[in-house]
Amino acid sequence: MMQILKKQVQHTLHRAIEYVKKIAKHPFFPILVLGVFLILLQIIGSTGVIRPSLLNFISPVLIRFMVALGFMLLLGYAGLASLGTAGFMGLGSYLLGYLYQTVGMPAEVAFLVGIATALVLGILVGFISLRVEGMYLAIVTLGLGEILKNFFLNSPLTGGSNGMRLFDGIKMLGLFSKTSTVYNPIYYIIVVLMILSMVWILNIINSPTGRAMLSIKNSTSAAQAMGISIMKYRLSAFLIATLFAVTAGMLQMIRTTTSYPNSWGIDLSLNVLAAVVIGGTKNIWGVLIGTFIVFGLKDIVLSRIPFFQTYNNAHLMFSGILIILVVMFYPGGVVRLFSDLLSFFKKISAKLNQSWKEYRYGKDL
Amino acid sequence: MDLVGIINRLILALADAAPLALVTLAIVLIFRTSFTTNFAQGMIATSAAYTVTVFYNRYLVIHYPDFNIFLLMMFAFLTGIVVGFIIGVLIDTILIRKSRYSNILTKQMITMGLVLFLMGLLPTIFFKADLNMPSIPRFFTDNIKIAVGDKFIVMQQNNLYSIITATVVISIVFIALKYTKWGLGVRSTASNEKVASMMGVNTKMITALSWGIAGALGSLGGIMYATTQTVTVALMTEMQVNGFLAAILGGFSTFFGPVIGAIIIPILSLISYILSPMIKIGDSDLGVYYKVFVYLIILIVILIKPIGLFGKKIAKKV
Repeated sequence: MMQILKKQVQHTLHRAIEYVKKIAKHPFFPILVLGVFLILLQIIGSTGVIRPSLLNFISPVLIRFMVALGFMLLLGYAGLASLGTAGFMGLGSYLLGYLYQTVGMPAEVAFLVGIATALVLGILVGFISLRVEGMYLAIVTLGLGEILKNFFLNSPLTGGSNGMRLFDGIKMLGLFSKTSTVYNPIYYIIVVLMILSMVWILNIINSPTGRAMLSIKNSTSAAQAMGISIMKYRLSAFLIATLFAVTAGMLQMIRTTTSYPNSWGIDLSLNVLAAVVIGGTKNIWGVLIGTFIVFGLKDIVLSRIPFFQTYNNAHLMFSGILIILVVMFYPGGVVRLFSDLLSFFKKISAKLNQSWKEYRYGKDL
Repeated sequence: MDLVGIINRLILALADAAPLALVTLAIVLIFRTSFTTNFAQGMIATSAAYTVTVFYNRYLVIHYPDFNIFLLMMFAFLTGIVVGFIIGVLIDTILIRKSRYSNILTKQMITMGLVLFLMGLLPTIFFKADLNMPSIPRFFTDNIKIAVGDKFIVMQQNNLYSIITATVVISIVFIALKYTKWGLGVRSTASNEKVASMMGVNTKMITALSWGIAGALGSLGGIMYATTQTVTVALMTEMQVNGFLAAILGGFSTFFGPVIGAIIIPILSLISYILSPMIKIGDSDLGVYYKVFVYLIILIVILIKPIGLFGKKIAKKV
C-alpha cells in the first residue's frame, strides 16, 4: 500500500517537474519572470528596504523600453527609421494631461482617446511618407517631431515653455499618482503594460507578419514579387511603433504628472534609436539591455563620474559613438555578444580538450 | 498688412531662404553621391558656427585688437568653412566609405549617430560656451531704406549680403557641376556608382570631395544663419528639417529642384504667417500654428506628387 502511494507520489512529482520544464522552455516564461521580479521589487522596496531614488529610476527606463520595443519592430523588422518618437511621446503626455485636467475626462477614457489619436496619426503620416521610399519616413517624422515640439512650445493649450503640470495629481484604475509620491503605484500599470507589449511584439515577430516584414527589409523587390504588400506591413510596423510611443508618453505623464517641451527633443528620439541599435535590432532582450545601457547607465554610473558631471551633455557622445561602432562593426548588437562569447568558449574548450588528448594518448589517436 | 509690409517680410523670407538653400544643396549633393540622407548636415554647420564664434570672440579679437575687424571676421569665416570641409571629408573617409555598399538605412543610422556624437562633443569642447555664447557680430548693422510714399522698404545690409553670397555660391556650384571634371564625376556617380568607377572615374575621390564641399556649403549657411541667432547646439535643427523638406518638395532626383524648394518654403511660411491669424476658432486665432500649416501643405504636396515638384521618376532594375 505504502509502496503504491510512494510510486504514485513519485510519478506525480515527475510529471510536475516535466510540466515545469515545459513551461520554462516557453518563450513567454522569461517575460513572466521579469514581470514578477519587477513587481516584487516594488512591493518589497516600498516597505523601505530599497532607497526610493533607486526604484524611481526604473520606471522611466521601463517606459523608454516600451518605446524602444515598438521602434525595434520598425527598425529591425520593417527596416525603417523614424525620428518622430519623442514628438509622439510628447503628444501622448500633453494629450492625456489636457484631456484629464482641462476637459475633465476620467484618466482611463483619456488613455483610450490617446490610443485612438495615435492610430489616426500613425496611419496619416505613415501612409503619406511611405508611398515613395522607406527613407522618406525618417525625414517626414523628423519634421513632424520638430513641428510637434514647436507646437508644445507655442500653443496656449500646453502651457508653453513652462510645461504642463497636473496640480491635483491623477487617479487611474484606483491608483493615485502625484509628483510628491515617493513610491509611485503607477509603476504596476507600467510593468503590466510593458509585459503585455513584450508578449505582443514577440508574437508578431514569430508570426507570418514578422517574417513578411523581415523579407521586405532584406529585399523589397523580392518580397513584392512574392506577393507581400509592402505598404501594409511597413504601415503596420510604423503604426505599432507610434502606438507604443504615444502610450509611453501617456504613462510618463501619469507617472511624473509633469511635461516640459524641452524633454521631447530630437536627442530623445536619437537615444531611443541608440538603445535599439546598441542592444540588437532583432531581439527584445537585446533592446532591454540597450535601453539600460543608454538610459539607465546615464543615471546610475555616468552621473557618478566627475567628467560627466561637469559636461552634462557628454553622455550623448557616448551613445553616438556606440551607435556608429555597433552599426559598422557589430551589427548584431550587444545581445550577440553572449552567443559569440559562448561559442568562443566552446571552441577554446574543444581545442584544449583536443590538445590534452594528444598529450595524453599521443598524436596518432 | 499693406503692400510695403509684405515686401519687407518677403525680403526677410528670402534672407531665410539663403542659408536654407545652401544647406539643401549640401544635403542633395551628399544624397546623389553617397545615396544617403545626411542627418548630420546641420550638426556639421553648427560645429563650424561654434568654431567661428569661439575663434573670433575668444581669440582673434583679444589677440589682435588693432587689426581691421572686417578682415578678422573674414578670416574667422574662412576658418569655419575650412573646418566644415575637413569634417565632411573626415566623415566620408572614416565612416561612409567603409559602409559604401550597405543599405540606405545603415548609412542613415551612422549619420544619426554622428548627430548624437556632435551634440555631446560640441558643448564639451567649448565648455559651458553654451551658456554665455557671444553670437557672431554682424558687421553691416545699418539698414538700406527705400521710401515708397510715406512708408519705407527696409533692407538689412546683413540680409542683403547673405542673399548675394548664397546666390553667387550656388551659381558657382551649379556651373562646377556642369563644366568641371568634379561635376562630371558627381553626375556619373549619381547615375551609377559601379559603372562610373569602371569607366575610370575615381569615385572615392569624388565622394570625399562632395562630402567636403557639402560640409563647406552647410557651414557657410550655418555661419550666415548664426549672425542672426545665438549659437547653441540646436542652432541648425530647424534648418536641417526644412532642408530635408525642401529636398523632398523639390524632388531628390535633380539638383535645382531642392534649391527651388528651399526658396518656396520660407515664402510658404510667410504666406501662412499672414493668413493663419485670419482663421478664428472662438476668440483665439491660429496665428501661433503657422509653421504647422507649412508642414501640412508640404505633406499634401508629397501626397499628390510623391517624387517632388521637379522630380523625375527613375526606373530601377531589379
